[in-house]
Amino acid sequence: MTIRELSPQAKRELYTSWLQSMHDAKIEETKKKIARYGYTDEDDYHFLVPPENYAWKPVGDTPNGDFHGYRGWSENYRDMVASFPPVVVPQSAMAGNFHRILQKFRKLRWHQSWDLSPYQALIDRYGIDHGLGQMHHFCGDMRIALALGWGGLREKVERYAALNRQTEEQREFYRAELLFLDTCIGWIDRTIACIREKAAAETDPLLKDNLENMLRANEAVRLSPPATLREACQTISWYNIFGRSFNREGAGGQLDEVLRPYYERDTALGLIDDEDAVFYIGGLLMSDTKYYQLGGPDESGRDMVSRVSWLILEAADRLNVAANLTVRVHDGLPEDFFRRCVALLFKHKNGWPRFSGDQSLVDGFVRRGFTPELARRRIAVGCNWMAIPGVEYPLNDSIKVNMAKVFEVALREMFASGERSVARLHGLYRRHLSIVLQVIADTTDMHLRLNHENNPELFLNLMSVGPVETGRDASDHSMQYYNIGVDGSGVAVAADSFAALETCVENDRTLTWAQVEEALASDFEGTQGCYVQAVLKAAPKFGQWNSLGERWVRTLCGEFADLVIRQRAKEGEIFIPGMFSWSKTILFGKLVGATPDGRKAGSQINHGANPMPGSVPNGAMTTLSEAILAAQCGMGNTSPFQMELDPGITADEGGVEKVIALLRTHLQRGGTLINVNIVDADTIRAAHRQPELYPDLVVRVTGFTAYFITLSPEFRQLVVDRIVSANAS
Amino acid sequence: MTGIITDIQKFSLTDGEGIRTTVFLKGCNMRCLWCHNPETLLPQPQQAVYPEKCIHCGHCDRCPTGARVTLGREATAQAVFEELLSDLPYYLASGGGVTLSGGEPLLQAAFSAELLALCREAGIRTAIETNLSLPFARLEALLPVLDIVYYDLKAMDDRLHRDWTGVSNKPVLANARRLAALGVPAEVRTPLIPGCTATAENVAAIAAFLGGLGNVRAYELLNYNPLGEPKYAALGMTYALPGLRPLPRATLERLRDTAAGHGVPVSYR
Repeated sequence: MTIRELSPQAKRELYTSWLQSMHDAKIEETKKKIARYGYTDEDDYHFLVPPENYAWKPVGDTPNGDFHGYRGWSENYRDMVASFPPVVVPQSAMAGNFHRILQKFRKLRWHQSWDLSPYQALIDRYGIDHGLGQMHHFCGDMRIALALGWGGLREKVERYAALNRQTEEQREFYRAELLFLDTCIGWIDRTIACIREKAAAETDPLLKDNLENMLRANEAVRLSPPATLREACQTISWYNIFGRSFNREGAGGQLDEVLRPYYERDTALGLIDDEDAVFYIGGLLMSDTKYYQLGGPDESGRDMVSRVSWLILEAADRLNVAANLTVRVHDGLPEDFFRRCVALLFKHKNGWPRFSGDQSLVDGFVRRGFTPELARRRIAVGCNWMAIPGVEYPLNDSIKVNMAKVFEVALREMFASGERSVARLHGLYRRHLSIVLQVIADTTDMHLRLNHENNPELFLNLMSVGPVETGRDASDHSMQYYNIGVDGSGVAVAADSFAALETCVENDRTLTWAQVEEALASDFEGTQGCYVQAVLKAAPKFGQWNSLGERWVRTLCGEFADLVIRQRAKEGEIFIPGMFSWSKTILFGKLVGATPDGRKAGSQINHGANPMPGSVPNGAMTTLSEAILAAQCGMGNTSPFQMELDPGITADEGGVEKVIALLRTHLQRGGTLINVNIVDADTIRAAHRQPELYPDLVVRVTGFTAYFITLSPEFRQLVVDRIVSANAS
Repeated sequence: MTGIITDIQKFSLTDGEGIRTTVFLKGCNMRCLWCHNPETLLPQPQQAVYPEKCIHCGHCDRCPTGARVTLGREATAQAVFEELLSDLPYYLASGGGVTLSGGEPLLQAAFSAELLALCREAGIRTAIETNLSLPFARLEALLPVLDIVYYDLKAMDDRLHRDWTGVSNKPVLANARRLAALGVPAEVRTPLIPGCTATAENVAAIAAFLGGLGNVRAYELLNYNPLGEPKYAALGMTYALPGLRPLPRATLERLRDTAAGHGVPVSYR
C-alpha cells in the first residue's frame, strides 16, 4: 500500500494525523529546550535540542576565543555541522533539522581588535544599539537556490572564483563559500543515508512510502534544482536550515509566489493533489519559523494570492505552531482570503498571520527616492521589517535609538545649568539626538568597512546578487542597495514627558521645575514624590485622542525621520527611519532613570510605536490605531501597531468583519504593520503563574511569535501587562 | 446646546452593529436595583471617592490620583460630535456608528437630537439605547435622525417591573407598539436578574410580545453584570443586590431556547 493509492479521505486523515504528531512532538521539544537552556526570550526557530553528550565548541582565533572572517566561520561551520546527527522524522514530508546556531557561540559581536574608543563613551552615555558586527537582517532571494540548486550554486562560485582572483581576500571569499556549500551538500548526503536506513527498517508501509519519497526528493535536490513541489519545499527547508544554523538568518520570502510554479506544474501533470501540497508545505513550515509574506501586489500591482496562498494557510492551520506569516493588505487583496486570515487568528489565537499595509509602505519608500515597482518588491521578511530579496542590505531591526535616554540626557543638562523651559529642553533633545545619529552613521561606516573580516555572510552571499559576482561580502559594498534602518524606541516616554512638563510646569503651573527635579532624583519617593508623580501621570498622554502627548509624538517622530534621512555617511549607505523597540523595552528601560511622564526609574519603555500601557481610554482600539498613525515615519520602514484584542470579540457576531474593518482602516490611513494577539487576561495571568500548564500558548512578543513558556518571568510580565491593560476596557 | 455626559466609549462592540462609539448620557428616570452604571442615575455631575487611590497629598481640590473624581461633565453637542468624528473612518468601514446610551438619553432629548443630527449630516449611522418609558413624542422627534432603536423590556409583569425599576411597564409596552406601528427597526434586550427577570415565564412572555410587533430584528438576553457594585460605594450609595452572581451558561441557553419560536432571533451574552 502506498500513499498514492489511498482514497482522498484516507489520505487526508493520514496527513492530518502526521501533522498533528509533528505538532505534539514540537510541544515536547519546547519543554526539553526549557529544561536544557532555560528561558530563551526569543523566537524558537523549530530547532532541536542536541543529544545529551553534545559538546562541540568552535575553534577561536583571538584571545577571547571568538572566530572570525571567511576562514574562521567556514571551518567552524563545517565542524559544527559535522557534529550534528542527521534528523529524519518519518511523519514529515521534509528531512533535516539542526541543533545549534554557530553565531551563538560568539562572545563578542564585533572583532576584539576593533578600536571603538572614539564612540564607546557616547554609546554608553546614550545606550545606543549600533550596527557594528550585526549579521543577516537582510533577505536572501530563495529563488536563486531554487533556480540553481546546491550544485549549480557551487558551479557559479567556481566560475566567479576563476574570474576574480585579483586579491587574497577574494580568493579567501571563494574558498570559504565553496567550503560552505560542500558542508551543506555533505549534510544533505548524510541525511540521505539516514533516510535510506530508516526507509529500509520501516515496517509501516505508509511511513516507508513517505520515507522513500523523501529519499527521492533529497537525492534529486542534493545538487540539482528542484522540479516538483516536494523538491522545492525540500530545497527551501535546507535553505532555512543552512541559513539559520549559520547565523540565525530568518528572512523568508514571498512563499506563495515562489512555490506557485511547482504547484501548478505538479497538479497539471496529476502528480499531486491539494492534500499532498498541504503536507509538503506543513513540513516546510516545521523546518523554521521564517518570516514569509503572502499575497500583496507584484511589481505591476497585480495581487499574488493564489491557490498556494490558501494551501499555506491550510497547512499552518493544521499544524498550529508558531508561524510568522505576514499578509500584505492592499486594495486587490481578495476579501475571502482576508476573511480566512482573520478567522485563523480568531481560531488559534496564536498571533498569526499578521498584516502589512501596502500603500503606506510603497508611498514611504517612494518618498525615500525609490520606484513603486521596487517598493512592491520590498516584502515583509522580518520582525518589523521589509527588504528587497537578494539586492538590498538594510541591517533592519539592528540599530536602535533609545529616545527616552536621549530625553533624559537633555533633561539633566537643562537641570544642571541655564534656562529651564520646555523650548530649551526640546532644543537640547534635538542636539543630543543629532549626536546619537552621528555615532550611528560613523559606526555603520565602520561596520561596512570592516565586518567582512569579522562576520561574513557566507550563506546570504550565495542568495544575493553581487557578492558571488564580485568576490566581496554582502556587508562589503557588493549589494545594490544599502538602505540602513534606524529605529526610534521609547518615543511615548519622551513625548509624554515633554507633554507633562509643558502641561504641569508651564501651562497649569501645578508644579515647579524644582519640584520635578527633586521628585525625579528621588524616583518619586515620599509623599511629595508621590504627589508629583500623580500630577505628572495625570497630564495628557500619547494614546489619548488629540492630546498634547500625541502632538509631541508627531513632532518627535517627524524630527527623528528628518534627522535620520539627512544623516550623511562615508560608505555610500542611506538611512531609513522607523519606530520599533523590538523586545528591548525592558533593557532600554533599565538604562533610564525616572522620567517626567511619571515613569519610575528602570521600568520599561513603551513597546514599538504603542503608547505606554494604560494610556488609551477604555483601551479603545480605534483610538490606539489613530495614535500609532501619529508615530509613523513615512519613509518605507514600519511603526508597527501591537494590537492586543480581547478574545470576547471572537465570540461576537460579526467579530471577523469588525476586526477586518479595524485592520484595513489602520493600514489605509497610513499604518505599516499590525501584530495581533488575541489572549484573554485571565488565561495569560494563569499561564504566567504556571507556564508549564500552557505549553501550546503562542504569543506575538513583538514582531515575532514565541511559545509563552520559553519566556523569562520578566519577559512574560511584559506581555501580561500589555494584554491585561488592553483587556481592561 | 449642552448636555451632561459620563463617558464617551470608543471601539464599543456591543452597542449595535459594527465599530461604534457609545455616548453615555447622565440621568435616568428608572431605578433598576441591578443598575451597573449608577453614576448615570442622577442628572447632575457628582463626586465619587476611591479611598484606595488616595496618597494623602492634601491637594483634594484637584486630586491628581483619581481618588476624588467628578463623574459627569457638561459638553456641547458640537464638542462631543468632534470627538466622535475621530473614528469616522472606522464607522464607515465596519457599518458601525454612534449609539446614545445612559442613563436615559431621552431625558436630554434636545441635546440628543442635535448630536444625532450632526452625526447624520456627517454620514454616521446612529442608534439609541432607551428604556422606552418616557412620553413617545421625545423619541418620535429623534426618529428622523436614528437608524435603529435599542430598548429594554425588563419584565412583562407590571408589579415586578415597578418593584424592581420603580416605574410601570405600561408606557414601555405602549411605546413599543407605537414604534412597531411606525415600522422603526428595533432590537430589544432583557437584563437577566436572578430572582427577578431571569425566569422562563418572563422571557417567554416578552418573546411572545415581541414576536407580535413585527419591527423587532433581534432579542438579546443580557446576563447579570456585577461589575457595577464597587461604584455604589464610591458614590456613597448602597447596592441593593450584593453577592448576586451571573447565570451559568446552561441557564442562559435554556432561557434562550424558551424565548425562541416567535419569529425573532434570540441570543445571549
